[in-house]
Amino acid sequence: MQKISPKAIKVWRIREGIVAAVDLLIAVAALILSLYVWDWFPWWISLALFIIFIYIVLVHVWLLPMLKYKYFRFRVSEDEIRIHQGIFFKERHAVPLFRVQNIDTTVGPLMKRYGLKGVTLKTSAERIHIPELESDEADAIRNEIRKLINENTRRTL
Amino acid sequence: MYSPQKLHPIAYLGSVVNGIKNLWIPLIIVLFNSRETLLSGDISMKYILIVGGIFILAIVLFGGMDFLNKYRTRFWIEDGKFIYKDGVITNHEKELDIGRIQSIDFSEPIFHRLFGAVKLEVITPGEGIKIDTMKKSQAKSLQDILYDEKSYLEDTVEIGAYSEWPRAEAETDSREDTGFDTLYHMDGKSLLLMSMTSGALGTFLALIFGFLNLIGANFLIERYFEYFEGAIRNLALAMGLAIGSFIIVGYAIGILILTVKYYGYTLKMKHDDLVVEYGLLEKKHQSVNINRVQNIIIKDSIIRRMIGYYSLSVTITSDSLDSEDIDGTVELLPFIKKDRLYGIVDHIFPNYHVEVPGKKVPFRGYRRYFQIVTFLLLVITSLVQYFWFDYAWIAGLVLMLVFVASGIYSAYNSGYAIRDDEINLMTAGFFKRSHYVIKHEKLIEAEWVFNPFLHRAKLGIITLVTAAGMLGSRATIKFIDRKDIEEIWQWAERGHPDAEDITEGD
Repeated sequence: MQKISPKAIKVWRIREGIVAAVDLLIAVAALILSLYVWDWFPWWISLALFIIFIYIVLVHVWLLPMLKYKYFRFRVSEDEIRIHQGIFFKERHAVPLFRVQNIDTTVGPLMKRYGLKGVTLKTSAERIHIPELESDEADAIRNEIRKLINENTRRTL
Repeated sequence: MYSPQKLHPIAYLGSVVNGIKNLWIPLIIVLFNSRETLLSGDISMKYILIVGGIFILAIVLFGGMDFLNKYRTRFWIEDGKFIYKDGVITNHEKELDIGRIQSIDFSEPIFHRLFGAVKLEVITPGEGIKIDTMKKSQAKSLQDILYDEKSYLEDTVEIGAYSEWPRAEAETDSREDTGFDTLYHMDGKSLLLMSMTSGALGTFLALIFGFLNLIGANFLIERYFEYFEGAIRNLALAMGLAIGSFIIVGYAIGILILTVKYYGYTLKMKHDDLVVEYGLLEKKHQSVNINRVQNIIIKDSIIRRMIGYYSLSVTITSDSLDSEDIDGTVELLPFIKKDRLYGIVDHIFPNYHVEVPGKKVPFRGYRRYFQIVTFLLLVITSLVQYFWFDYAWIAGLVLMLVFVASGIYSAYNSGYAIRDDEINLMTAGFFKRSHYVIKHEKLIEAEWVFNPFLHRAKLGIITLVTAAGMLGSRATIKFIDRKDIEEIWQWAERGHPDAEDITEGD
């Protein structure tokens, strides 16, 4: 079984960090508003936002990326692709390759900076997402899957 | 049909109605905001003219586009393709390959029937075409042509591709080329039985409460109870009578609704197409191509199982967004005797070997079918009991028993059976069983889920996904032994037994 790029942890952390920062900003804004501007604005809103901020930092920034990385595995074999994921609820997916209809790759600005790429496989009903692979690896996987699909479909036709 | 056809003239009326429908919400907002002016009594003529004028203009604008669009709509058949063309400013043209058509639906809502109009929906794996109002004569000839072209195309392919000509000839002889082969026609008795066992009361309740909510007439319900309280002194008796008569009347009306809906249910077969027709007021006509069927589902509920009646559905796939039933399930036989059902399945799908799977859930899995829901019920009941109502525990206990029984029923009936390239999955939920029959080549995904508790108990949940509509049809068996899960898993990825231990850890 293959793992995704270890840089993924960093990318996920930065991504969640941005969310946390925005939340903190709103919390501070709410605090200022309640203290100095609007009398009717309850002070506990900023407290709640601050608690949410701490939760995001602890769980989504610190804990989850580590575990998500640790428990994500995938493998492209000759005729199927397998994915194992899940921290508490473990999920294992197996998708026959000949059912794959298209393969998309996604690159966000953050992912681009770290040279990462995500691959999404679409079947007629499901979509399978392999996040944050090294760019060249993602391309290799995509090409490999494409090749395998082509071979398989040619054989059956 | 081979020359471009226009829509039924009544379609234009529909576009006016649509225009009004689109403006319904803005109209209400405007009326609500100007309620003081309206209620004060002195509305100037100018005001009415301006507001009315704006709305008529909007209706003409919105409806008019639709109107023009309908005026410019054409559809015809050409060279093995069904072509649909519309558009006012930009022209759209859709081409459906007739050989790829999975399903053809005609329906005649009561409004359409008054004018001899028909709704049509054609579905292929990718696109679909929906024509809202066409003439019945057009629909008839279109249907004939579509079926004939299809069989013609298939025949030519068959003869050319692999079968030798004597065999092809023999086959055409045995087939009734002239028309449809009726497989099943529901008689009055079955119809009535079906209506009685298919949640008729639920249908009625949903309808009546939906309606009452819509017009905001909840006070009617209070009045109803008050009437009984006034008529009979004893409060408990009055309530009992009120509820009892409500249930009886509701049940009867529900039965009536379902009977009207499924009146004259017929399943026919022509070449590779199955056709379903039913309805007294709104006539429905739906066809499914056998070769495009993704899986077979046989359903029953505990009551129907006792009297030996099952229902049969199949799923087809489509990416068409404007399809009404997005889940891609087509009901072929809503209510039929068990043995006849299996006979018909054998006849329609000779390549499927349908077998009822035995029970596979180990005893340690049983409690997992009801533990969470009973726990939730316990919490809710105790809260209600403590804060509001002294007799809540009675209702709680009854509900809990029902859910425990349903859980045990589900656990007892869930199972699977593998035979060559086919898997039979029996899943159950709340006294209803669904028997999925899936061929290996139709499988899209296998999904195996467990958490640490299940892991320790060596149990797991497995889902097999086949294509259906946009989302796929998922058949899930819960809490079976890991060995069984591995067997299904191996079957799903057959040919490549994978003994590698995949437990996590570095």
